[in-house]
Amino acid sequence: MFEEYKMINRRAFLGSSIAAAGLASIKNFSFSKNSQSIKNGKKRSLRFAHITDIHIRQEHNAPEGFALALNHIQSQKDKPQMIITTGDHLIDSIGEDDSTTEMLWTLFKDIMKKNCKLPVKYGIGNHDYWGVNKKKSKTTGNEPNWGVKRTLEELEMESRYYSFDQGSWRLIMLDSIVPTDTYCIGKIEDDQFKWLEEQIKTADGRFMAIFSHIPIMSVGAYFYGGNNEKTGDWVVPGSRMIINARQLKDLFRQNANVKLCVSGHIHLYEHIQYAGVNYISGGAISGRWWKGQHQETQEGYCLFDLYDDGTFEHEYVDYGWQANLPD
Amino acid sequence: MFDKNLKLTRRGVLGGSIAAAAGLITGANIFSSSASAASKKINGKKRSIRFAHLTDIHIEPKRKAPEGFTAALRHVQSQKDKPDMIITGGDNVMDLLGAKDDWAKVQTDTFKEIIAKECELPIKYCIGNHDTWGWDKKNSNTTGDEPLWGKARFVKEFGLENRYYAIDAGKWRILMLDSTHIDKKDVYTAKFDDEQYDWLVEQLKSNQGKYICLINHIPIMSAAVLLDGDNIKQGRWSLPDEWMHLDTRKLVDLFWQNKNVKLCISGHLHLLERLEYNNVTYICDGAVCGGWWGGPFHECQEGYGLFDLYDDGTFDHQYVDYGWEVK
Repeated sequence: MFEEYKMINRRAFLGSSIAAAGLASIKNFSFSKNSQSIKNGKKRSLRFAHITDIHIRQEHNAPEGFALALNHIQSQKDKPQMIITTGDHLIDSIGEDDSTTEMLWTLFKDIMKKNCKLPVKYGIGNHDYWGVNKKKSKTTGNEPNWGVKRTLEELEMESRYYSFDQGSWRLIMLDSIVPTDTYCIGKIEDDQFKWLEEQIKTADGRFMAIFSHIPIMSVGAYFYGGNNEKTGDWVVPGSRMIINARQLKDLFRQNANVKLCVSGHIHLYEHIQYAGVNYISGGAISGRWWKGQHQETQEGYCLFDLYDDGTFEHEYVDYGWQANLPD
Repeated sequence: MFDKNLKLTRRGVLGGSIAAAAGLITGANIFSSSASAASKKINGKKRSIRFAHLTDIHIEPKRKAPEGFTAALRHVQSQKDKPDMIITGGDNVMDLLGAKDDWAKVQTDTFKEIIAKECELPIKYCIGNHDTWGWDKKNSNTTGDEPLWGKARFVKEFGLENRYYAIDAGKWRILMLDSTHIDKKDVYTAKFDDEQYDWLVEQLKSNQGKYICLINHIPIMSAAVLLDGDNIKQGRWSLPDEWMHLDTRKLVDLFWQNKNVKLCISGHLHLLERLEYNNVTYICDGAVCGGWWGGPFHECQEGYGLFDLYDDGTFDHQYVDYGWEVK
């Protein structure tokens, strides 16, 4: 048993060196015409755009900004094959009433319909849990579409977590939100964790990219929000970084094919390599909720190329939005 | 790190040979043999310096630490593409914080004897928390009035020009900094004191034509640190200020204003992690002693870092497992 564990982890080592080699050439995209073409001698399984934290609202020209982002993605010379979101599609639905939430979903879907011709895979963010703050949202919790159900219906999602295979990769979408009375914590709860274990076990040699709204590993989490160092120690709320991250890290170590974890939530761009896995927080379409860039990260999205050999490349793209704020 | 006993026990549980994982970071194993390390061209890039970064050596006469350190030094110097110098990352000796005078002398003498016998390369030292003499007055039996109390002892023993200083290396300037400072609430806190911060600002200002690499003991930024031990309290991530710098936000801002800062190298955690944040790369570079000479620590093997800094501001890094096995 122990020997076997060691063996598995030696494989982890080999896999990682390959992955890291690919990273050296990040941002050296040579654009080609066909999305499934061979690039730098490597066959590509998938090229996708990761968009996160869209936070659609009527203010600050947000609809125009989101449309610009979608068109920027689709006018890439080397056009991605799909868009993957990691949640927070609306400015908020945790504390918004039925009619405001309705208005926001209509706005979101209308922009998508007019501006997006690519297939889209959606992920769930904390602001996609309708009515969790019952007082503010004026909900009882007995509404048939209360909570995440509303988002599943609006986006025609079959499940709040799911996976799909593409080329030699398996893409796994998690729901990292566990609602509390007024907000959430970031956690992969037991049932979903077991499902994830099963997904990894049955990947059948495929490489894996895992998506979640809340990051599994993050340093941006230290800087997001208020003064997290005021007590003289670093204190980071469990809503900023998945609280069972250690359990996930240990799970990933059992299969060297887990290469990449992509998240949103903190509206910051960062890239961490630890124990053979790459953790990337992909900034935010909305920047600082459509009020400009968030700290040092511009409004943007991430372009990913996943290759058949388990390597990948990525690039954070500033789509050129300038926030339009009232004086 | 500060709680060595805790780590030593945990090692028993988690000690698999997991992470030769190590090698992962930028597979730069492509160097052909050379005579003079700097000034040669690698992949068409001129190199400013090649150095080996040996951190958390924790020398003492027992635990086969001298043999292990000797093996590491021989490994470094038998690299086909031999480095120009060795730079340590602090915690050179097992512990001076709580060492009585004679035990402190044994540790520093042991270190110096090995260097005299085994090291032909120039060597530069960084001060770690365990290189600071007597701050634990009770165990060290000191009053604080000893002329060599605190960092003075290490500075004198190892001939440092100061507890912080700079090294010129071609197009790069390497700033060697001191992370450990007396704290009112417990033994020490991790930061750069005001005097040192002012010096750092001045260094960045007067070296704008150079690329900057910082080397200090305690990481300015780390996510992996959150997963080491039980850092969750009441549903929040809670990280003691001994584990990661508490003035990180201030430093992130400073680096954002000074885009020539490219690389921050640390030790302390005995873990290997690489992260990119705001175009600065932060590398926590494992440990020569692994888990305090008791075997690997978590995913990290006993090893050292090899760095190539190039004239164009780029660099390569690899973590080298020098093959130490604990019997």
